[in-house]
Amino acid sequence: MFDRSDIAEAMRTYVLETAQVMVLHLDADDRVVGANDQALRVLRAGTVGRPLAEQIVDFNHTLDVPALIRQTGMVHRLTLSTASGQPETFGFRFFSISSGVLALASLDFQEQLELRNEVLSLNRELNNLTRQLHQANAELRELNQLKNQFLGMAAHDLRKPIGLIMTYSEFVLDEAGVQLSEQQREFLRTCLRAATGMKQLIDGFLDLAVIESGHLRLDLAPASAREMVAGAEPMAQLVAEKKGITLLVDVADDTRRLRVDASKLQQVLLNLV
Amino acid sequence: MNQPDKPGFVPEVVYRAYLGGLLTHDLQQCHASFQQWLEADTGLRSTYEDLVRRSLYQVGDLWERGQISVATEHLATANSESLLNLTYPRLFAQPRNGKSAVITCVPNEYHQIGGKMVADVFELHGWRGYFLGANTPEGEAITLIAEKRSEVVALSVATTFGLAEVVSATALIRAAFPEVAILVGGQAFRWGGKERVERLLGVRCLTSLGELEAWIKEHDNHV
Ligand code: B12
Repeated sequence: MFDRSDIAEAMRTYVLETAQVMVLHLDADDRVVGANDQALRVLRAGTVGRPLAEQIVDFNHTLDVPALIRQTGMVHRLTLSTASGQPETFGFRFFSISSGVLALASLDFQEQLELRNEVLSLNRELNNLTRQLHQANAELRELNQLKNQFLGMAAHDLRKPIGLIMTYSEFVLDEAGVQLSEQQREFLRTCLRAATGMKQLIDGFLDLAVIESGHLRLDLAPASAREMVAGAEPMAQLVAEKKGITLLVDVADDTRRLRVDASKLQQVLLNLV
Repeated sequence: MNQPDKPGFVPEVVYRAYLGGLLTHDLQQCHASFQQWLEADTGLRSTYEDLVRRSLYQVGDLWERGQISVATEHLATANSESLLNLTYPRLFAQPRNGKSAVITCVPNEYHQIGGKMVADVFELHGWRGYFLGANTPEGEAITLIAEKRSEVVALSVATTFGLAEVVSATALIRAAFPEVAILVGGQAFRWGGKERVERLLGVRCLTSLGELEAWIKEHDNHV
């Protein structure tokens, strides 16, 4: 029914002008000598005039293109570079004609459709995962804050009893030390050392919790270097004395006052000394 | 609808530019118009309904009338959906009230943007809105409700044939969690059927984000 000449003419017009089918006319040396509009749109410039074999992407040089072109009864999957710069795989069918070979090629519609649906569904999933990620991040931030709050609270509550243990151990050592045996004094010193270690640990936790929670509050007030050193000196002297070290203080006579958190800076100073 | 209050912000002009971008696959244009709308502080609901939903409904109409291809419709949808991500850094950083909702599309329902907007509105109001996505088996929703101890589950259904799935999903969820409130909504009710579903299934049927916000406020006041 399709072999009527008016039908053949309609198909010819459609294939040459409209269809998403590439038509290439090859001469006896397999050189492209003619191409329809679709082929000119899709393939890289310079298609016409070059052998087809040169335009086929063949990574391992295993294709025998002249032989393929002569296998006319089947569809060959061949990859060509396209105008967009991307390689694309087409289904080629070759027809032997008096002046050489006619090559017709198109994309695999079914495959393209599957690809599109897969990409769309992956995109949907990606968007959902992006949302989940934002949500999980927010939840983690919340939990981290909670952890910091808890840490801060626990550290605060532990500080006081440890302070008491330290004070009373020291007191007993100082006041009643002579009545105790050397072994008993050593027990007390061990208590004191352990409590001091624990206090340092807790101070560290507390600082960490405060800093991480972003609530490190500075009490800013004008203070001079001399005032800051003067504030830290008695404590430092006490520690130094116990270790038999003489502490000399020498501060430049600079009366400028800066807005600082004096107690925090004194802490830094004590840590350094 | 909220009144835009930024000088120089003309909703209709921004909408036109946005729609133009959607139809010509110009994601940058869409991005710019979306951002403009967000920054006009008209509220999340307005950005979602007056910009994104309105344009997608129009895309659907154009497609129905043969004026655009399915591919253009797909691209417009994909672009619209990815734009929602722009709201997330701010949306998820808000203070929480400890409550949560699970939002899911019934099995075989592939329209997911409306449902995601619903989940985002829960977030906007301090709830956690866990969104399960298109075509989700009820089992997944049930597992998540248990894990998060959610007090609400919302089902989104766009196609009329999805209503049968709503009936079975509702029965399964109700059997597992008699206390959990069930909300149903979506485009399947655009042409009616709301009251019938409420009566037959004993669920609340809401069709817009405004109705949802009212429900959330009412719920928050009661508890
Ligand atoms: C994009 C789209 C698709 C995409 C969806 C991709 C995705 N990522 O979501 C794809 C390609 C998958 C698709 C497929 C189909 N689609 Co379609 N699609 C659309 C389109 C163009 C836009 C949908 C959209 O996102 N709208 C924007 C959102 C924001 O609006 P919304 O869903 O209404 O949600 C709002 C409210 O309803 C509400 N809401 C939603 N859920 C809930 C839940 C609760 C609890 C609450 C309170 C509120 C609420 O909140 C949102 C904000 O206001 C519409 C056209 C249109 N008019 O919408 C057609 C449309 C929805 N599709 C339609 C059809 C028929 C189909 C197909 C059957 C086509 C086919 N023959 O293959 C398939 C069905 C596949 C399936 N099994 O689900 C019809 C549905 C008619 C009907 N009611 O039955 C529509 C209306 C087109 C039309 N006019 O015919 N589609």
